Amino acid sequence: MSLKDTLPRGRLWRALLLALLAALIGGLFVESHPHFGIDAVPGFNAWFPMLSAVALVFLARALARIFGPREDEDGR
Amino acid sequence: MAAELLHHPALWLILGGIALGFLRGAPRALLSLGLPLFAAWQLWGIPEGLYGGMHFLDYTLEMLRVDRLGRLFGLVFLLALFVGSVYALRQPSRLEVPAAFVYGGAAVGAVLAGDWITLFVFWELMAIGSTLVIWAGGREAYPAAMRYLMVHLFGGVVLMAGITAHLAGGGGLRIEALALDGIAPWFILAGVLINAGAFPFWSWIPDAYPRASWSGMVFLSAFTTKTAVYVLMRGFPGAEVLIPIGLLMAGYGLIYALVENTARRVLAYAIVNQVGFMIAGIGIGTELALNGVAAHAFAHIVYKALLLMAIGAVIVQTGRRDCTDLGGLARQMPVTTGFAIFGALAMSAPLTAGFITKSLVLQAAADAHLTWVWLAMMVIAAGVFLAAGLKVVVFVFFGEPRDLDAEEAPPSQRWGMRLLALTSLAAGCYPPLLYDLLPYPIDYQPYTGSHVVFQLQLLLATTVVFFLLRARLVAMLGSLIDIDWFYRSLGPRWTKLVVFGVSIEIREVARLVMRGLANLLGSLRRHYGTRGVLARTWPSGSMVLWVALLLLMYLALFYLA
Repeated sequence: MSLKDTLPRGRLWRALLLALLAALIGGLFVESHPHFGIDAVPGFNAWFPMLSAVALVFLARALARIFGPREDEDGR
Repeated sequence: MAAELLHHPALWLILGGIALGFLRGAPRALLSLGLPLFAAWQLWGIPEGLYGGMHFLDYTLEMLRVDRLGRLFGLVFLLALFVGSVYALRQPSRLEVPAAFVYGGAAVGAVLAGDWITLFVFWELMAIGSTLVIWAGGREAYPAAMRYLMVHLFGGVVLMAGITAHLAGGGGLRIEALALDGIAPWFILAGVLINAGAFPFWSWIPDAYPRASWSGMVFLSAFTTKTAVYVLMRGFPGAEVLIPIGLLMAGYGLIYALVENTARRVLAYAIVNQVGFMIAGIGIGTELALNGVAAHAFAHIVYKALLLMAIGAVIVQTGRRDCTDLGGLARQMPVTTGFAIFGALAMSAPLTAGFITKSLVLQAAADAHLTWVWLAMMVIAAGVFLAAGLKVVVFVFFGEPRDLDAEEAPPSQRWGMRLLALTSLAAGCYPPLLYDLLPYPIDYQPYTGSHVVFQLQLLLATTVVFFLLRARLVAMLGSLIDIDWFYRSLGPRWTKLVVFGVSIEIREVARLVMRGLANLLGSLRRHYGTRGVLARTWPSGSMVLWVALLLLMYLALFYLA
């Protein structure tokens, strides 16, 4: 299965991307108060959670191979 | 003293809970809805101060302490009890709601306790009440209820050991902030952290809570861990060790929630995650952080109960609990779906309680220049929305329809969800409703342009990732081995091995004893049996000879002596 096959389609998906784009553009026009430097990078509140979420999913997947599946009544 | 204690909300709730056990039908419904409101009215009317100077051993117990922190937690608990009672109006169990009132009453008593001994009494009562709530989930829930009870009784023993050492060492009876400079406060901290679900005692939450009935987990999600958060706020504000402990809990909850297949276990892991977030906030310890933790405890109780109610309604309708067995229920249960979506958004979206509370803790971490803590909290905020919000809502209510025979949730369940959604919306739209109840004065404006836009960026970006990686998330659904594996699988195996070994020894000893007995009996038989040596017929001459010899021995002994 290629990445293209797994990508969601449809109006909801396009609306979601447009909303994210709008939020990113909106972020350029609001006054921010960065505390650490890294949060001053444009779009930090989008790309950092995005990268975090991707990392979490792959970490969970790796741990699932090590610690799963459990073989008791909870391991269904 | 007695007159003052008559106003104690916990007293009314516990006695009312016992009375509920004997009532049926409308009287029971009226009492279960009226009691939390009455208790809230009582709590609201008590002026701040210490009450109930009861003598116990050499101590004077302050059984009721009313201040801003205790009042806030007490009111939130009473809200959870009231809304949970509305939701559970159709609960057929004769045990669950009465037990929930004893449990909730004890939780209110714990957050209003002025001294460590009173706290411990209510702490243990909570363990008993909550065990009964889990047990009411049915026969399958019994083993989990017992495991839960064991963990909490152990936690209680550790807490009591700490309190005893604290008092014996000259520490004050009143619950106040403790410095971690001796063994006593460490024991108290450990006892409280066991109830909070910290490592290595975090797996009791996903083990026990999801086995409660469809309404039982709503009650369970509100009280125990939040009471622990309250005691940590009282006893250990600013204890830096709480930051790594909390972040570890949050990370564990996230990873396990991402993999877990059973919907309510996902939410149970999310409880560990969010309690970890609060504990890290307590570790930061500034007034803003503590305000944020108290406020977020409120927001978390509301949105988590809302999600649990939605999933509980699904369980009632379909009898199914796993994400892989559910899907496409939005058509049959549109109202429940709407509340579930709102519950997911209420974690941190603008106009909900989660938005105005979570940002307080993040701001506190930023103000304290704790870069890594702040970054970790950002990861937590994104991850929990992905794992417990989007995943549960999309997998259960959308996606591939499973041709399930389901109808919309009944009115009592819908009213429970409606009340929680309105509460979150009210606090989110008008923050002073909540901020005015917080323990410290607060000067924070959540609705600035940057706060709103940046939060929307976080939520939308996480949603994009969810849909991009949805197939991978589905592929890894299951259950991971957890700490409870040690006492649920490994422990019993070792026990069997040891018992088997002991039984071998016992068999060996028994075989030896039996062989000895057989030898003894054989010997007796040889001598005294019908054909034994002593039973034979002897010749007269031989007998005379033996008698003569015996007489000779007698005479010899007589003269020698």
